[in-house]
Amino acid sequence: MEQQMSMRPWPTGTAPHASVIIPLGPRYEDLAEICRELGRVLTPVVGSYEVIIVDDATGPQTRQKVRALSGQFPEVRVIRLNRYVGEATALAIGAQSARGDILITLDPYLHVAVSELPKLVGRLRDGMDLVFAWRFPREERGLSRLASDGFNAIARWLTKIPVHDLNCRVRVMRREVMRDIPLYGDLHRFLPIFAARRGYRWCEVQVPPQPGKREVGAFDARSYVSRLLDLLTLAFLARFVKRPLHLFGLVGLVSLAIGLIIGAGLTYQKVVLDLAIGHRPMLLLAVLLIVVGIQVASIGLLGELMIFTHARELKDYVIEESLDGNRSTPEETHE
Amino acid sequence: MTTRELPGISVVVPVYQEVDSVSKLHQALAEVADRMPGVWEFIFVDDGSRDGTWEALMALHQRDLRVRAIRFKRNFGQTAAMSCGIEQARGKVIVTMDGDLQNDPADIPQMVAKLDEGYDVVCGWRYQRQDKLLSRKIPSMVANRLIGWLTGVTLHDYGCSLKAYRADVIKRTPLYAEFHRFITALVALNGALVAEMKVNHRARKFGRTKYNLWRTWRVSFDMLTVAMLVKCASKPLRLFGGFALVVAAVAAACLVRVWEFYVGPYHHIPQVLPGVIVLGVWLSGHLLVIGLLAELCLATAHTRPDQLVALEVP
Repeated sequence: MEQQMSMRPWPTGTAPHASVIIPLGPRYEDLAEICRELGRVLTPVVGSYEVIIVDDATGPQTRQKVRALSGQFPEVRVIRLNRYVGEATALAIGAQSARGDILITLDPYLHVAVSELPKLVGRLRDGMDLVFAWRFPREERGLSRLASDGFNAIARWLTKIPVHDLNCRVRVMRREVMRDIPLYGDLHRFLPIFAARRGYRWCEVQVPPQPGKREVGAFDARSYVSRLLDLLTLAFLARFVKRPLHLFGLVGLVSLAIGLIIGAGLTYQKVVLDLAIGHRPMLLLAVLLIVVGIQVASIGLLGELMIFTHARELKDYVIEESLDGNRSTPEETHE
Repeated sequence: MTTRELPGISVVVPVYQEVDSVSKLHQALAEVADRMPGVWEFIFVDDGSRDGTWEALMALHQRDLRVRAIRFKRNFGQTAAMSCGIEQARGKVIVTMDGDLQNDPADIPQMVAKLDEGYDVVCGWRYQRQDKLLSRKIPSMVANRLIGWLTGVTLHDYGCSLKAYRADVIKRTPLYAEFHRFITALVALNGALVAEMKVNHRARKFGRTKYNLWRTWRVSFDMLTVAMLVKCASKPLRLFGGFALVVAAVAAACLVRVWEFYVGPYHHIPQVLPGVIVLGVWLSGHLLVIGLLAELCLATAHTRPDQLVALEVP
């Protein structure tokens, strides 16, 4: 740790063991306090660490504060983004430049006390790839509690992965987890789900929430809608990313089939029974269903084409370990 | 031998819950390899087994340095395992086979010999299939016919895992989702010469078959995708635009008919016609746009379905 102090924070010298990534939005707690707390709590468990503050275009005042902070704490590195990119991208950028093998992501408004971190790091040491905090018992009551629980419950139902607190950003993981999973938009919430689906070992650790800290602005009317859309993204990405036609094709073919059946019925009435069908709403419905069916199915085919042309960049699997016949040495083959 | 040569033949075997089979399979493979010249490697890809398969593979690796083993974090499916094994393979010839002892390693020398005749891919044909008639053979017969018709590569048996490839051909073919059964169609699309060869097929001794029938609908959508990739190749606008033109022609015919009514003595337009016109214009516009987007997609593509393979003459 002493060496760490005298070291310049940017990539020179030995790499720290852990990197704490704090994406900085418009709202944050006392950062100096967080840094002091981190030093007190983390040094015994991980040894050397760095703090990467990703300043997500927060404005001049914050910029000043953060600059002062990095002067005060040598372990603090600051990445300033020139335009607002959102928490997920900020996290991904932070992870890219992280040098530690253990990544710790924090939110800057401290939903979970920093002093709980050793518990999470401990589980990682037990062989987990990803450990995340589950605030329990929850502080929120009423509508926002319902929305939060509902969000988690729907995500659980969609993915069959038993997660309980996707909205808590306090997570501890091995670096490769973050490197392996692309995060953008609002997808950082779903990191545990993507990681679990890629086969990483994960667990939740119940931590008491900080008293009086509620989710900030999380559940206004607009965020309800965007959360719902996030869940739709999740459902789609989780199941159909490599096979868009399995979804679009099914929807399209069903719609097309119903449209064609109605159309055939109308044609029968027109040709055989000689009834007028031009004024029938059913005709409009048949046209609509046929058009929608072909549209959806052809977009699915387009999706397949896109996947095919990029298939080599999208790895389907994660390798746990490999025994190589050619270069095999005892050191390499043990786990 | 002091320095290790690069292997000539890589055998890729995806295994999942095959603890009983792997050592027998390795034994059979080793017997074949010992009789053949050249350096071999056996790549076992353990697709997230939980029954001790990995420990068995570790033991094999200790005994035989030709054995390479890769273990997935969880079960990612046969295609993923195969594509990982193919990617890791170092041989000039890559042989893929099932890990359940239904394929016979003794067939490999013949297949490799066939490759030397100038073929790029040699596919096994299980002409005496040892499987249940109703649940395995009949669905696969129907699927084989359909795949042949849609993709234009006629084989008796697409589902047989025992295949031999020239490495440069198979390494260029993206393999993902559940595309292993269409791999022949995809490589043939790249201009590969495909041969078929009768191979032995033995009944399962251990474990249970890992396929089930209800997957059929997914396979049929995959088939549709492969058909599109084959038909589109480098000009998707011809496919989508062709449909668009047909639909537009129908709409135009209806428009002419409406015009006739309009200027004619009746002044009463049958209301079906405007419906068909709306349908036609809407759809043809949509299909045209999709075709253009597909062109855009190919123009920026990393892997094109028809990417011509510049084959190095052996």
